[in-house]
Amino acid sequence: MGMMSTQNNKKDLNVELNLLPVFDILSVCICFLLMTVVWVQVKTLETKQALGGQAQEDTPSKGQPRVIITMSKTNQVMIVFKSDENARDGISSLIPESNENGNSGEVNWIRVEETLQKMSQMALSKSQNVPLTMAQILPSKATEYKQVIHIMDILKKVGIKNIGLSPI
Amino acid sequence: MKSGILENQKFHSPLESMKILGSSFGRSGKAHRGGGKNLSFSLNLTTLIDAFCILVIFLLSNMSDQFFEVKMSKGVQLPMAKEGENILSLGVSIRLEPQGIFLEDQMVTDQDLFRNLLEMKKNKKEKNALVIQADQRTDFQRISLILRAGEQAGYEKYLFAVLPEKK
Repeated sequence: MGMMSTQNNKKDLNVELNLLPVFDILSVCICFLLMTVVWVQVKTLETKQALGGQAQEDTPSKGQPRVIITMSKTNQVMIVFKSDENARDGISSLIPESNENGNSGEVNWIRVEETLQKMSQMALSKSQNVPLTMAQILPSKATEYKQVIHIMDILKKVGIKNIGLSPI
Repeated sequence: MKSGILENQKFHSPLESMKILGSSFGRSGKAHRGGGKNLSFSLNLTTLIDAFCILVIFLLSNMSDQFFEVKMSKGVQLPMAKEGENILSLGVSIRLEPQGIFLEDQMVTDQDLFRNLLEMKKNKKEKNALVIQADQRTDFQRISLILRAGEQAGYEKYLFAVLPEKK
């Protein structure tokens, strides 16, 4: 919208555009969109293959403690602690709580986490202060994907960073 | 009308105030209009908006390569985890949906999955991980299929896409 002013009967050729309302509307639209948009941040849990194909530098050296977690189709979780390759100690078997119908219920995740923390402390005492950083998960065919993720999440929380997931 | 409505309503504009010739303050030093001083002022926003635009363009261009696009289907609910990490490395995207398996947005069969992964491993060497997206109710048997195919193709790193859960 141009504004022409006449001063002393001479036309002013300067044309000025008032952009303030445009920027005002633009900023209101941007604020509205920012407030109404749904922000979804996707994260990832990292794991490495447990069988074969493993790089030599990733192959664990002897004497490193690890846990092996087996998940059955009845939601039973068995955790085996190994202070080194040949030892087999600290076996713990977890039985899920049954629901009202007597069917196999959910896994007791709190007990799983407590057991893993105890094994982590056991690793420090038995293995000359070598922390427990390795785990291997062996799920069954019918194990739900979210349960596998939950186990991995608990392992990361306890401090076990190197997680291997075995395919069936 | 000697002067229009806009002429009466406009404030003293920055362009007009910067004019050396034809200033509203004449030779006598007095303002023309009504004999009194114009108390209105206008802000010159051009420089501010210029700086703002440069900042936005700079941030957009620098941050665009740090984003990893994750496409999710409507019925797929990703599992939740508290200890999830940001996607830092580039990876090949695999989506498990009820219709089938999508490898980089292309549908593949179970039998062709290994061959396609091998081809992708050869062609895109910078992508050394598999980013797996699946519904949380999926059986592990289907996930295992991807793990076995990835192992045979030579992938060692697997990233499972999760939604962050509040700690």
